[in-house]
Amino acid sequence: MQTLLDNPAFQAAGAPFVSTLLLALVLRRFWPAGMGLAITAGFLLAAALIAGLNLQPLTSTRKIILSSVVLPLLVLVMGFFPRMRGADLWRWLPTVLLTAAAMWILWPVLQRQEGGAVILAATPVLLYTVVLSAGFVALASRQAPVDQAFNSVAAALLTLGLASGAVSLIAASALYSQLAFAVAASCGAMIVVGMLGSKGHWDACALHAASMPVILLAGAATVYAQLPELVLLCLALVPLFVVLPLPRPSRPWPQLIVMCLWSAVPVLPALWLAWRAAGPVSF
Amino acid sequence: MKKSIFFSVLLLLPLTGMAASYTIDPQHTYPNFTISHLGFSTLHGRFGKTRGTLTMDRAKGTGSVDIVIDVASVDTGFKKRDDHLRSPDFFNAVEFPEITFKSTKVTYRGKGATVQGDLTIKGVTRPISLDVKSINCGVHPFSKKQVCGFDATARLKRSDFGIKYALPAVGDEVNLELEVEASKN
Repeated sequence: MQTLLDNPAFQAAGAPFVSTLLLALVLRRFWPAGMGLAITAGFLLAAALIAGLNLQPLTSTRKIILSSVVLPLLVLVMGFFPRMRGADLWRWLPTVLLTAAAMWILWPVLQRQEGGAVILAATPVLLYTVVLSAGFVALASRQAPVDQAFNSVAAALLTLGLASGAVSLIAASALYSQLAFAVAASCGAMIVVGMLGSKGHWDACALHAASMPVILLAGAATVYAQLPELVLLCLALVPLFVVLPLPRPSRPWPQLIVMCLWSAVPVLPALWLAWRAAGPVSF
Repeated sequence: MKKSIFFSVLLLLPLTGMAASYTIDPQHTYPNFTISHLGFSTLHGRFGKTRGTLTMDRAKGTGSVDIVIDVASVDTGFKKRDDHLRSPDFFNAVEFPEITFKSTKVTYRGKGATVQGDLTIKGVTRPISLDVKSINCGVHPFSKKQVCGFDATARLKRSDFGIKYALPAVGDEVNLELEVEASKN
C-alpha cells in the first residue's frame, strides 16, 4: 500500500482522478452547485500525498497549496449571497484574490528587491495571473449553450493543467509538475461526470476557481525554479484559443476534443521554450 | 622584584581567560555531503561558499561556531542536477538562500570536541551534533596568522528538514563532513 501511495503517477493522476470522480458524482446528486469543489478536493488529496499537509514553515509551495484550497472555497461561499452573484465584483473576485495570492507567494523574493527591481520581478507573474484569470472569467461568463460553455472551461483547464505540468517537469520542478498534473486529472474526472449527465447545474465560477493552482504554479515556477518567462506568455493564450471562431463539431465529446486540440496550439511553443531552457536531461 | 612579577601576572590573568575569536576562511572551509543514489552508489556534493565565525576558550571549556552556507553554491559535478537541487524539489535556493548552523554548546574532548547546535535548512531548524576529531591550531607559514582548523562530521535525515522529494529512491540519510579553517581576528 505504501508503495502505491509513494508512486508519483498515483499521487499526481490516479488519486485525484478517482477522488474527484466519486465526489463529483455525490455532489451532483445532493449539491450540484458545489460540484466544482470536487476538483479542489482532488487537488488537496494529491497535495497531501505529494507534499504533505504540514503548513510549518509556510514555504512558497505550501502557500500555493493553501491558496488553491482556500480561494475556491471563498468564492463558493460568497456565491451563496444573491447580491454578490449579481455584482460585477463577484465575477472578477477570483482574479483579484488570485493576484493577491501571487504577491503573497512571491513575497520572500520581492522583499529582497529594492526600488524598481520589485516591479521588474513581479510584473511578468502578476500580468500572467491577471490575463489568464480574466480569460477564464470570460470563458465562464460567455453567453453560450450550456454544453459549449462547459466544454470551453473544461478544455482550457485540462489543457492548462497538462501544459503547466509538462513545462514544469521539463524545466522547473517535478513537485510543481505533479501538482499541476493533479489538477488536470481532477478536471478529467469532472469532464467524465459532466458528459454523463446534465450540465445545467454546474457552476462556471467554481470551475474557474479550480484553475487557480495551475495559474499560481506556472507563475511561481518562473521565480522559484528556472521556467522561462516567455512560457507564461504562451500559456496565457490557452483560453483565447478555446474561443476562437474555429470549426468545431456540435456533439459534446468531439467538440471537447477539438477544443482541447485548438487550445493546445499555444502550448507547443511553450514546450519548445521549456525544452530549450532545460538542456540535456539525465538521471 | 617579586612584587613586580606578582603584579605582571595579575595584569595578564584577564587575558588568559578571554576566548579567542576567529573568522572562517571561505577558501578553506567546505561543507561536504554524501547520500545514497537509488541504492547504486554514493553521491558526493559540496557547498562552495561559506562564511562565519568561531570562538574558542579551552581554559573555560567554552566556544561557539556560527556558519552560514550559500545554498546556491551547491556542486555535485553536474549542472543539471545542481539546478534541480536548487529548485523547490530540494533546497528551494531562491526562497531559502542560506543554510545556517549556530552552536549551542561546545564540549572539548582531548584534542577534539563535540559541537551541539541548531542547523536550519529551508526554514526548518533541528538540533544536530558535530563530531570534531581534532582541533589543530598554529601559525600559517605564509600569512603568519594564527589559524585553527578541524574536520567535523554529522549525520542527519533530509526528511526532518522537509526535503522529501524522491524518497526512498534517493536516500534519506545524509552524511555531513565539514572541513573548516579560520584565522584569528
